[in-house]
Amino acid sequence: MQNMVLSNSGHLRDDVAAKMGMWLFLFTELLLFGGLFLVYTIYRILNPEAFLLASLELNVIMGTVNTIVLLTSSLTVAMSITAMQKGNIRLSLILLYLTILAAVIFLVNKYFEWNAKIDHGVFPGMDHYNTLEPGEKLFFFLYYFMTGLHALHVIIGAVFIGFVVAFIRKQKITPGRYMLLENSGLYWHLVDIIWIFLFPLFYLIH
Amino acid sequence: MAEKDKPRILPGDKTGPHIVSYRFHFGIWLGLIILTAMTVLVSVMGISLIAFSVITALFIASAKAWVVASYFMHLKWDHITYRIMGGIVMLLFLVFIILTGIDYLTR
Repeated sequence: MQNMVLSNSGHLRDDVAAKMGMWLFLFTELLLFGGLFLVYTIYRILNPEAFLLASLELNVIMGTVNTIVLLTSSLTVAMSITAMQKGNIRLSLILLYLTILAAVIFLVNKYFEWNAKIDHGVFPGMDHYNTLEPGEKLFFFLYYFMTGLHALHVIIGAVFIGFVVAFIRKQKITPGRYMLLENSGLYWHLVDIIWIFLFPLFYLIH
Repeated sequence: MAEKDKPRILPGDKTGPHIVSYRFHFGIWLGLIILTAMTVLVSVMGISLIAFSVITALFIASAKAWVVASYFMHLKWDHITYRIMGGIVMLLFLVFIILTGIDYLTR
């Protein structure tokens, strides 16, 4: 590694650039979900009654619980960075475990929610789904696609934080060098921000 | 600190990270929960003071997202470059929305 460093820099790391790379990646995620939100908004404007009817089928309590779980997990990961900066590695680890726990709770909740819908035959291709209006079909199609893609991000985020936990335990992330922890936090907050938009659009607009 | 552990300091960087207190983070979380509770109540109880349309929902969600980005994601205290980059991406996305909107509204 030594000979890869610019002779006049004298440093082996660049935290500003490391974080910038993460932000650039997050921007691509933002445009991915942004496009889907655009699709949703246009179809909602074109099929207002069908979307309203379909959105009443969703469980607001489940959605609210998941919102609180995700917001709380954002808090724990943000506090974990504070703990690391203050040199309290034990607390930082505990807060990261709590974040992973929140991710699991979110996914279990999501599983029951999807399961209830699928039991009623509301899934693309199933009997009850096939009898719905075209607009309602669109709503449920977008619902499964967007919350599914978001759930995939929750899984990836939890695995990312799992790696960070392992690195902290191996002392590869220390109070003097914790950019990976910050970047995993940034990813997790993005997952939270996406849910902040998904929740009202699918569950609350009546 | 060993030489390799020293972070590179750019002109305009503050020396050392800005440490956000636990208390402050908790306050931000409380604010986000209150905003969520308000949105749910307005929607479920059908208070029709404001029509809870797509626009209202997006407006409140944007406010929450801005809070998460500024405080939880530390944008407020980090190097200004990240804020400029974020602003450019938001403008780009706004162009997408406007172009798509014009396309659908003028058919």
